[in-house]
Amino acid sequence: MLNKFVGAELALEPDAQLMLQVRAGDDASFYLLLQKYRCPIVGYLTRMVRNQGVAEELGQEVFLRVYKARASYEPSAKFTTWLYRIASRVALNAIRDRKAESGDRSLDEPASGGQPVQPADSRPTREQELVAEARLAIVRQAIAALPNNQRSAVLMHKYQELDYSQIAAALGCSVSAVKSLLFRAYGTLRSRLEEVAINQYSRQTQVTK
Amino acid sequence: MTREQVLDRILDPTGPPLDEAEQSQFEQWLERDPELKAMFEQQLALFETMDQWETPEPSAGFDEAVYARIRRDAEPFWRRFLFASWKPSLVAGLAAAAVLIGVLAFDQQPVDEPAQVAVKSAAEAEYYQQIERALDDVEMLIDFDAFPQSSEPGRS
Repeated sequence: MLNKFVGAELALEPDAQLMLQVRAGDDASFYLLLQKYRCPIVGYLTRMVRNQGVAEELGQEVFLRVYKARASYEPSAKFTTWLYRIASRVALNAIRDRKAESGDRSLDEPASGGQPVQPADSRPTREQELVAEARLAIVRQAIAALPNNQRSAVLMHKYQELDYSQIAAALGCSVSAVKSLLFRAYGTLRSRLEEVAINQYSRQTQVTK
Repeated sequence: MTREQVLDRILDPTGPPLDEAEQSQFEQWLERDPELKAMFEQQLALFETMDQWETPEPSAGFDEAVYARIRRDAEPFWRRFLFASWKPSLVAGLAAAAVLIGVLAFDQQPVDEPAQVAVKSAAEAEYYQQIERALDDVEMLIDFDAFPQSSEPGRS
């Protein structure tokens, strides 16, 4: 029995082992988890709520909940699945409560303090940059306009590289529901991007005429 | 490879590499179905664009803020209430409300209506008249007691 338990402990992924150590009262393990996941979690939340300040507050809330839940933590799923389940709940609650929206800023505002997106520039190299920036702005707007569950699924799939089962566990739905969410969401995003490409193409042909 | 597996791959075009046989089947599917091929190319373009969306790192004080929240959360409720950041504004609000209530209460002290005043003054007048009558009666009795009883006819 003891061997079986030890075997199960050894088979655990490193993050789950760290979390079990946090459960046993080892705060240094919590620090390691915080260092490992602060960027991905805040990044995920920033993309969800589109505001860095709000995302950081929500990120603090996520880690507070992780710490508070340490006593009841059971490594039944991957640690990242559990972590993103908490992060998704925090983000979706904040969006529902309109906490995030009250401090919302325009999607056209660059996240890293760069120059705002400008329409066509005469210089060809700059033009390529602007096209790329404009395409990204369109995609960000389209992601922001997705229903909350679709947005969460896309962000976890694309940026956090969670697989279908992990996303399903994080969102509390079935794997087939996740596939359906992703299929619809990516379809919407592809069509938005296609519209931009068509408009871009028509503008270019008008200029060359 | 089933169509569903092909669709899965299209949704995740940058996923783990397929083995040789799967890759060959996948390409055959795309050749046979132009709709799937277009979808795959659009998905690649979408992922390429999405890759450019970078998010800034958390600010320098993020860890400290997390630990501060953990410490605050560990404090008993009454202490959190007393030292809450919103407390000064709450106290100021309560003080302002108390002053306002005081001013309103002072302004709204009961004022007698004209009819009530009339009734009240009539009652007061009657009260004074009764006292006056009682005093008169007492005075009269005193006079009566002072009257010499021996001179009363028929008495000895």
